[in-house]
Amino acid sequence: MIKAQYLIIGNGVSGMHGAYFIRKLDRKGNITILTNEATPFYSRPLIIDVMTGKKRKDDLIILDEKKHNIYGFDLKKDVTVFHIDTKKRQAGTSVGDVKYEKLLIATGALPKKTNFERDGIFYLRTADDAERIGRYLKKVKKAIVYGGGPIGIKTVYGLLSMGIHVDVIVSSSHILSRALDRKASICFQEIFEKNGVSFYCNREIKDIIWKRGLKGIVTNRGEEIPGDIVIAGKGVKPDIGIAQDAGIMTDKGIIVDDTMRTNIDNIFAAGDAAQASSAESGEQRAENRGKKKVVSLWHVGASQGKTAGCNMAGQSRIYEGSVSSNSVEYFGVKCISMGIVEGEGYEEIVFEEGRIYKKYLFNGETLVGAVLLDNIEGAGLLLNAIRTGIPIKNSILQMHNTKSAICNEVNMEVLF
Amino acid sequence: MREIHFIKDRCVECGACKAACIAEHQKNHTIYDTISLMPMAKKRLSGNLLNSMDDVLPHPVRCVHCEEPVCVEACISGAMKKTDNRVNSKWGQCVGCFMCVMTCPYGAILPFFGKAIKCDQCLFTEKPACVRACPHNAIVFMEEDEFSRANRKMKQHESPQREAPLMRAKY
Repeated sequence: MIKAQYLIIGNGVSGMHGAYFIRKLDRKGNITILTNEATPFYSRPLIIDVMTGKKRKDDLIILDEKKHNIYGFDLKKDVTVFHIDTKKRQAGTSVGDVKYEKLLIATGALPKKTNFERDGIFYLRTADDAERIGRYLKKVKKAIVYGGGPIGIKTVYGLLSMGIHVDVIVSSSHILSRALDRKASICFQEIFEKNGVSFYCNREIKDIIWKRGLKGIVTNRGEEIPGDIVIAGKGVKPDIGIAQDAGIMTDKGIIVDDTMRTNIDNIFAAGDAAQASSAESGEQRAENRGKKKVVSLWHVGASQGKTAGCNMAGQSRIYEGSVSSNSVEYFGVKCISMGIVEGEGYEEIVFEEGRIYKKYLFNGETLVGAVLLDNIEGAGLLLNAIRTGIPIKNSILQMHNTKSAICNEVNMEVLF
Repeated sequence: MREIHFIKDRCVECGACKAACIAEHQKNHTIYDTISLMPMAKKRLSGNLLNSMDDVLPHPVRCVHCEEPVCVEACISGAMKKTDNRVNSKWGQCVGCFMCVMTCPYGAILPFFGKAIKCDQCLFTEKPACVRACPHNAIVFMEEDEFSRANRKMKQHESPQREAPLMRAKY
């Protein structure tokens, strides 16, 4: 029987930020972290580099085990949690029962599965997955990526850098359809097509071709696409199995209030597994905070973990609400999108000059969403404005009328 | 902790601060490279604060070195770190995801050749390069309360001759 004052399940970004902030406020408490992986806290978004062979798995580690000792975190690797007993306050794991006073569930998410389970079909979620795909890729000449979301397109970009021909199956009409707006995503799609990627939009995988190994797939329109590997990046779903069994209230994810507390008093949740209130409508008032959403992003996980950690250590802190925002960069073209990128009933202001494209969506005076292509400076100001609901419509209009922001480069040439 | 402050009224847009900034962050501190790289100087020095969105004056993007920096939380590679009360970005570790650019509420981090850079207050020198270069003392490096005290005094007198205390101030 292991006794822990604070028990954290999962050593992803939210779990580790939780642990760090507990330690900041409570210097003596015993913090135990359980993980089902063999690596200490590493950067999950960068596993594509492990797949392509640019980096080793050890290069991704942000907090190594030596530093765990300095902070006094008791990390237990390769541990599976079977169940949580909320009345006895203990968790049944593969290393025996663990008693806790306060529990943080940061189990993260699992990749959405396809209908086919054969050799040659891979999912990209952990560093081990990336290593496994990297080994398999050595004998691959042509790859198929299933899914046109941020994970899928990042994989495509990685495979291109290895010189492998890629076909992409996209279920919506264009790539990155939920992350960016139509114009920005079509801009990216054209760049990828110029570099030799073929996109099959509005299609799903109907069947696979199997002749002593994976030889290709058949789409729902009857096309046969040859390929030696299928990497599925259809998005993720929260890993809430143990929480459901323990009687914690769940919807899509584990439902938490603004202090990241679940319906059971000493159990907290954060990260991809949690469904926390969103600040996306631009209104942060208490009556408008009812809408809850699962947002699977690195910085959202970090701030949720921070809030949960502070509340577990006794300092009360209110979560400021998550805004879904994404930053992508392919072939040197940068793009940042935040909040609502497309929708009816919002006033749309667009600025264009050359490739620079900026779109702002307003609800009255307040900003609710923005897409910035190629000129991303000051994006943080806009994200902060969306979160706090500051009326900044006039200053944005003024900024673009004086042409100070959109053609900064031109201004500089005039100045010097 | 001393910080870089900007006095807008004194700026004559000479651009010396930008040149100095580039020269400081080069390997051999030469002025020849500086001139050829001039259009990129704005990456380190430009106006991006919310209340000065319509200004085109060059002034340092000031990192506040927040208590709990959001850029450090958002950094996916561990390049952005807070050590000794200062937030710094490690050039070699940055992967150019621009999550920090996206989250910084002060717009203090800027993209630069596929990496994110921010003002590091010229860590290895006594005074930042832009402060040393400014011929009009428009950029000063002093304590926060010292600056606000001097600023208040300056506002009281209003006349340009009475600006002297800050001009004479030793940094």
